[in-house]
Amino acid sequence: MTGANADMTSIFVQAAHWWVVLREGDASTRQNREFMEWVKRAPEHVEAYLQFLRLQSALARPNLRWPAISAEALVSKALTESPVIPLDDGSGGCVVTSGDVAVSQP
Amino acid sequence: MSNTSLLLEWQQRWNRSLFHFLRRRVRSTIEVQDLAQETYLRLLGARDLSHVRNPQAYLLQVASHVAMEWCDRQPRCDSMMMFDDDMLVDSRLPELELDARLSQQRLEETLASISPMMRAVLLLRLRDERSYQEIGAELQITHRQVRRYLARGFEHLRRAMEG
Repeated sequence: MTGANADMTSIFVQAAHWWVVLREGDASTRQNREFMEWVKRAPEHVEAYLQFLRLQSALARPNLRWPAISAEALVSKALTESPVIPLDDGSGGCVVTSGDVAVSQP
Repeated sequence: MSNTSLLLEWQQRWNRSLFHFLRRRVRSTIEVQDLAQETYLRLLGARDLSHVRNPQAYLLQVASHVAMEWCDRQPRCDSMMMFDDDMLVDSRLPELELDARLSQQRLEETLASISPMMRAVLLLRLRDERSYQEIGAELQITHRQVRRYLARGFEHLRRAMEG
């Protein structure tokens, strides 16, 4: 992955992370303000968030079908096959630990 | 004037109208905040707001679109949704460029290629609409890990959308 692609990945993950945090239902006014500050900090942040909204739009299309595997089977597979998950972002891989997403934690 | 400066000005003048407009369409305060935020973000991404003749109408029109899309995503949505035609003085929408597609094949390939844990988090959240707490409890991972798997999972889906 080139440096530019790695940067884009990182910013997109930050945008996705903010969406995840703000959709939790108990996001505070402070978190909302921090998110807006993050958005305004750089044009790349705006682009990443818009890209995220495009993805949401694509995922919401009615003709897209999620796999029919049951929730029980998903959980069982996850517990037996991936106690620790390498997250391949193309930059050599990393492991889910407390520091793998470089965003300010709410 | 840049879109950002214009938008800050619009926000100061019409934020109350926007919230009032959205509150008539959705019930929860959190959803109103989400939708208002999404409205401003879409406007930030518009090509040029300086030619908009009636900013307030424009703002509310984009908010209508955002709220309608939100409604489409809800399992039940009976509180929605009539356009307020009198507000839609300016009928031109900004170029939002939100049309995006992810093929069925790319979605399936991507879900097959990621770890079982990430796949479980994505499907339990996006398909089954489980809460983060429920997902964490089922998968024996922390709340923070759920959020990280989800954010990373979205990145894989983004690449699938663009690939």
